[in-house]
Amino acid sequence: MIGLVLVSHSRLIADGLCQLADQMAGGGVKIAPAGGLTDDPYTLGTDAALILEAIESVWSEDGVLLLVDMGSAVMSAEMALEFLPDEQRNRCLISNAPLVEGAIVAALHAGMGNRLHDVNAAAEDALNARKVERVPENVKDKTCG
Amino acid sequence: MDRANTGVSPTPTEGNEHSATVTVKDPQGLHLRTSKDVVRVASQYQAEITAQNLSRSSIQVDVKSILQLMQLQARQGHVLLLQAAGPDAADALNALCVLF
Repeated sequence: MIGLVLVSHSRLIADGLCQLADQMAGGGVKIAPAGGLTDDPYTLGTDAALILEAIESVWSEDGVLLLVDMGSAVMSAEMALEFLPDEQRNRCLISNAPLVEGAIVAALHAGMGNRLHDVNAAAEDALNARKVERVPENVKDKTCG
Repeated sequence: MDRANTGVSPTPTEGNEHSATVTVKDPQGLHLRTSKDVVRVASQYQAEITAQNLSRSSIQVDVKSILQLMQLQARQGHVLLLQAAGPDAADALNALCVLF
């Protein structure tokens, strides 16, 4: 079963999302938050050392999927991966999925025993999932005449 | 009362295709935690299973996808049409109907 690491600039977001993801996984999936900075947890930022620690805490031979918020979260995650030996790094993947939706979907699918790339594919579907149906402004204008 | 919700055999339509209607009973509607259970149960079957929210005239969604289930925007009292196709379609619907 794969492990999950949730990377956010905010410690509160990462920790809260971890709680949500745990409920979706139904136990059995190792999920670790990596939010804020090591030295000052409630300062916004991301920290490669903290992410590395999180990866190691959920490590599985099946792989680890990293979900990140944006910007330096990606760079810090990449730096964390650089610290890992090749054989471990090759089993880690940084997802393109949006953080919250991706974590929910990934936790559910990881809990069902899906493989790393399948879990990531399901999470990345969130990139195209609409929340509300809305007629685009340019179309609305035309239909209203 | 919706018969299908009680686990009564879903109606066969054609060959390995079955369908059933269910009414959402939960006051909070079809929320994240229930949807998680629906995906988990549905994923145990080979059948392709779709759901449509008849109360909203929604599109058909894949019930093995939690993202798509959320798009049903189903509230308490909404009627969903479940359709399954495959060798275990009837069993799948029986297992799913009781979850809503």
